[in-house]
Amino acid sequence: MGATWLRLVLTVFRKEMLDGIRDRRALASALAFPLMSPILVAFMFTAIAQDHAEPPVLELPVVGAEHAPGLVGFLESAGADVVDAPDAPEAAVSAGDVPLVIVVDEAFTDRFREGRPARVELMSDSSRNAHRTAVARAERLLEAWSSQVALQRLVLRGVDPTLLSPLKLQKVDTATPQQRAANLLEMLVMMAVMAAFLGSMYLAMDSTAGERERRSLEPLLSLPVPRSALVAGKFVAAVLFGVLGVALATTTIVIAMNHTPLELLGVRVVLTARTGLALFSVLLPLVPVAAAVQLLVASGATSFKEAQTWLSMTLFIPMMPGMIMTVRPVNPQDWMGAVPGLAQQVLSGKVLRGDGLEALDFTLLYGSSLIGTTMVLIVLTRLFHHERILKRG
Amino acid sequence: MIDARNLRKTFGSVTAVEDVSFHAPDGRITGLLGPNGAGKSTTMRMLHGLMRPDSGRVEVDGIDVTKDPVSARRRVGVLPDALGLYPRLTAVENVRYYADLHGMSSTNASHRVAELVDLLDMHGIADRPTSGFSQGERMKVALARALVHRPQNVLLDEPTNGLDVMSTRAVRQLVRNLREDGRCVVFSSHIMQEVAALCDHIVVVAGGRVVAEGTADELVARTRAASLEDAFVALVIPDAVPQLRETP
Repeated sequence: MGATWLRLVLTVFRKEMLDGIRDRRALASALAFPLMSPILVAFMFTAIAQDHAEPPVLELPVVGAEHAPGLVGFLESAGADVVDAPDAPEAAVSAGDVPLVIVVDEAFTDRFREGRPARVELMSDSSRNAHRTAVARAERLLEAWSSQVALQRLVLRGVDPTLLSPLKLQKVDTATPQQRAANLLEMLVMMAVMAAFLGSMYLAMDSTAGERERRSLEPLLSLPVPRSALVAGKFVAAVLFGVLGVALATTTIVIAMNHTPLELLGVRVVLTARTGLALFSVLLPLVPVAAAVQLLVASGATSFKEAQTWLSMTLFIPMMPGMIMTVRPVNPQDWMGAVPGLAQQVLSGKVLRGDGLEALDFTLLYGSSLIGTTMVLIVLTRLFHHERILKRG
Repeated sequence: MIDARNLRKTFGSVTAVEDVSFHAPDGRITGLLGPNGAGKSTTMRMLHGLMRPDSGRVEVDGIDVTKDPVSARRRVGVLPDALGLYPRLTAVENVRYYADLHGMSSTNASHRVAELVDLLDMHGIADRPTSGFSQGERMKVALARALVHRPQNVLLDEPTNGLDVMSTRAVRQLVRNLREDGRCVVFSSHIMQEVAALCDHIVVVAGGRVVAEGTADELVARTRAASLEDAFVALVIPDAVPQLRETP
């Protein structure tokens, strides 16, 4: 059996690879995603970083500036540019022409002189994300002026202004820049996990459900070839496509992140070739599990369309831990390393945070992958022995 | 040589094949003739172990197909009712894949593929991907694929379906050559003329049973029909033409 069997596996593998490489859809789904997505994320990060890096001069359209010369003076000395408000301030704000308009009440002068709260309106449209920073800055400036005046008034009346601050809150963030960056990079991990799934998906589908749909499965099964050799050849081809996807994804991630000015975001991440390699070794054991599951699901489906539907749904399985962890972060536990999909999320995070991986991590990672893949492949081979495999929808 | 004994196959509550027995010796073309849904394709699938009969057994050159399907399949070349080629592979690549899966050595396979390209006159299409092939071209590739390992036994399931006159004649000639070579050919069809023109021995299948067998002349004589067509109708639906009912 040994040598003959291997030769048959190799024959099936070679044919599926040739078929896959000539299939533009299989190639596109294996390569486009890992190539494009990290670059897209790099663009996003760069855009965010640049927004944070050079705050433009804050323009403050003010209605009734003449009622509050003191306030206007303060705003200008703080670096803001006080300008005339548009004629219809509310319409201009909701149309997004200006981020905000400050309206000084007509009674401002009188009330201010009497020491009563003087009204200032800050008009903004909270649904516009682009203007959020400007509005927040204006708000801070107005509050700063308010507390400055309050302090002056207290001092004039002989009250110690420190009485107003029973609590002095100081925030200490223990996260190192690299750890903060890792949270951002969870997104990238999710993409690499997707790449592992997408790499093998199309080929897995085409070589099983597609083979049946083209009606080439029946003559294939009429050959004196052990079904296990057919399954193995198709499996190895799907795995190779998956590995290609993951290798490409990690490479693009490392390159893209090294060209992203993350330090402008206050985070510093060092993604060396070594980190990339560690990331790759974490993602690698997911590939055979994904390929085996995809082959099984696609073989069980009655048509190519049905296989497509089921497999797009299985795409959410590896995404789930990542999504849950973004919303509700959990502390990584050792056992998580034994659940394919979850393991990648947890351990990639570890790698990107700059922590090394331990022997236990690797044992669990590769052990669970081996056991999971073997079990699925056994079920798949059994299915190939069953007449049901021929049945079309 | 193929020997089928009391084959029976059900799918759920549907009985596809109830009781089919026949003997197909070497050097003879055995025709399985029957209307659509008579159980021909299911029988053909059981002959090489693609489907396992619920009861009964098949022997290919003395090998029990259920017990040793891989050995039995080595001695069989199958043309299924659907041709099922790989559209992104060329004609030669499609045939070569099967040669490799039969475990033929590289030189042997190349030699045989070239021989089949000659034999089936595939020079114009040999290196084109099969995606745009006509039915006749597809049939040639599928035939080459089925014959690549020089099988002693050849199963052809409706091989002239959808072919034009020229291709049909080519297929007939090929099948006759196989007989001259001393191969065992089992040929299934629902077209009487086809079977009458080609087969030495006809097995008429209806409702999952063998209702009659013999040469075309024997069948006509036995049903006292005017033609094979009448004989066929009489055998398949005995009540439709009562005066032609088969005599015991």
